[in-house]
Amino acid sequence: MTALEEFAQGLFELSQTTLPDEVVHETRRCFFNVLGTSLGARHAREVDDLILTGLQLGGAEISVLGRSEILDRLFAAEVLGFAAHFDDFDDTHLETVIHPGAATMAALYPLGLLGDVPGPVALMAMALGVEAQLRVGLAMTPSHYDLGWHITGTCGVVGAAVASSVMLGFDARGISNAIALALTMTVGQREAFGTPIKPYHAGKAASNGLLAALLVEEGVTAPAELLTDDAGYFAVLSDEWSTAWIDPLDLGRRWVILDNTYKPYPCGIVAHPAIEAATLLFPQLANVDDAKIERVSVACNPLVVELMGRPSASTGLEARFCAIHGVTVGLLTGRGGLTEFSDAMAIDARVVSLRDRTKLEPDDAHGRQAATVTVHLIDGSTLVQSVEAASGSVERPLTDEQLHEKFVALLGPELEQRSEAIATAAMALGRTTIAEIDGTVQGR
Amino acid sequence: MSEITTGIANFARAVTSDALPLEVRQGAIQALDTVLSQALSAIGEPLVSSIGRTLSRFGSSSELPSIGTDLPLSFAYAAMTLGTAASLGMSSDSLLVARLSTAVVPACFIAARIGTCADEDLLVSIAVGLEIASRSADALGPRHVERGWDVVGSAGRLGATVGAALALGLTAAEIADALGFACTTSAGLSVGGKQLAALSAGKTAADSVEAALLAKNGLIGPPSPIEGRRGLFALVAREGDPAQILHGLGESWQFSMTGETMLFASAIESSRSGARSIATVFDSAVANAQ
Repeated sequence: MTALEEFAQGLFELSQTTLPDEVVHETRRCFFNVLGTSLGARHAREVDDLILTGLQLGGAEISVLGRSEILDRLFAAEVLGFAAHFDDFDDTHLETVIHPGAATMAALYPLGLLGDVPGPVALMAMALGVEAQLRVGLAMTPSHYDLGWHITGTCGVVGAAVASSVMLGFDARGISNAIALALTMTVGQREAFGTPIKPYHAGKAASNGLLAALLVEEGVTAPAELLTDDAGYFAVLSDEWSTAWIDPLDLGRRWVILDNTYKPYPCGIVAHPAIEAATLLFPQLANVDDAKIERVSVACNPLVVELMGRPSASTGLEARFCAIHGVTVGLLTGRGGLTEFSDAMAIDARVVSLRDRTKLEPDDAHGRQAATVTVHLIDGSTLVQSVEAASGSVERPLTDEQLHEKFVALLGPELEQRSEAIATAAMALGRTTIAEIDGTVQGR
Repeated sequence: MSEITTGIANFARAVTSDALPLEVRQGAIQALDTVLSQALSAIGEPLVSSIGRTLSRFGSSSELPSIGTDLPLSFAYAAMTLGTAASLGMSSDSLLVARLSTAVVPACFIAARIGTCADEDLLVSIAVGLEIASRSADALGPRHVERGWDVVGSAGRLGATVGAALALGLTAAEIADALGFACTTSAGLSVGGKQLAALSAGKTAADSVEAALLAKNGLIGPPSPIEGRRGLFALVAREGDPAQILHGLGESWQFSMTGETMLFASAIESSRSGARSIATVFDSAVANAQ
């Protein structure tokens, strides 16, 4: 058997077992979080644009996000994944930098609406979709992302294909074929960061992975050599790779989904320690005139500069890749939510002024979870705040209560009255079905 | 916008049917005739039927008679089946430009049917699409394919997207945005054999129409999707030279498509003088063949 066939066999065997309690809980948290972020973006102009495109190009089967438009399953998946990742507020597996929840949830959700899929199957689909894509990503880490690929799209197709395969009840051969087909439909170049194409990667990955599984259902096959061939997926996408992470003997022995984290701030996760440090300084600055601040220095891991080093931002999307924007709004407001990363805040005069006086100082001594913000006042004094492990990290994960607060805030006033019902149903995935969860969103 | 992305978009937008050299126009007719004929010949292929069955379950708001299924397909999926069938119907010794045309022509043909593109403008979109696809394939270089990439899914996608964008009437700025979507969805592995190559051509055609429409509907892309530090060439063709796409662009045409006249050449020619549109003729042929 090829490595892909063995991996698929291992995934299939896992799908026939009972998930450990901690995996069930983490899978529910992952699903809950990305359902919340997708609903939070449901009225974004860019989501409207994508839905319009789906209406013009696609068929008509289901509605999602509590909206009225009828899309087909592929465009529904695309819209769900796009919305889930749109605000960069979803989740991150820190070692690979994959946002695994969006494409996985988005692929399985339409199938849950169209078919009578039991809740436990949907839960298993979510767990294995995330687990499979993280393991494929780990096999290419760090080379793949460093080259410039957006790993959320390139590996997201695998997660979407596996999740769809489980929803459709595939055996090992079916899973292998679906993954292989999905490997020919990758998406994601980091050049597009800061534009709507970044969240499109998650949406298109969901759609492509789902398409791959649906084609397999109708008899299409693909060679199992595609993953590890000398000119296959790993070889073209990465200078270095290893099959250790997709070894079937390792599946179920440990669960990498347990290393997934959920974002407290809607931007690239590497900037979170600095933003948290800034929000902690806010009380000390609340009565300080902005003009009294000479400059702000941010000692941080060099990866912050690499990934979020934009010197300015003119839109909310650009602000998500501008670490100094996050630090600035943290210092000025004590918060770092969707409002602070809005288009209006990106060009707010107070924010722009202080942002222009804020500078990143890359420092290898700071790990990815650490940062130190120093505010230099014109009288020569300084205010200093360090964070060693940011909220939302593996060391300090968001609690269920914090995730719940985030979820309810994302739903906003329009869904406020139903927010508890939606939250309860979503956090119980497995005991509830996708159709039942969607019913609470739709108000049925 | 970058020089290369802008250069491609501006070139594409500036080409008019009046200024299209005769031999270039003839090449576009040849490509359209060949691709539609190839697709018609592959209607009975199992892969085409599988795709048709899969996609026809989604419902459709269009009335397009579609290859591979008795049910109408929506525009995206009509492009996918058309591209797949055209690729399957192609002879194994076909030239590169013929392979690229299996994505470019279906994208242009279906995009033209979404809007109100005249048949003459369809020929312009095909000519420009094939020109950009051919130049992009050359610029990506031989190592691109040697490493394992499917050139139809990369170079073909750039051409198909520009062609679809023209058929949909995009501005130059919108074409540049559409190229952002085209670059980031470039995909396909050459080791999968003829079946996967065909599916890749169909997927490329569908994705390209989508890329063009996304841009037309207001979604923007990055300034340098083709030559940026983490853009297309940096990721799939490090040894390639994206600037090569622009060398002589607008001064001379590089793509050349010749061959035997097939099923639709006379219909395409007669459509010039106001006869039935080529789309109508093709629909009839598909309906009769299934």
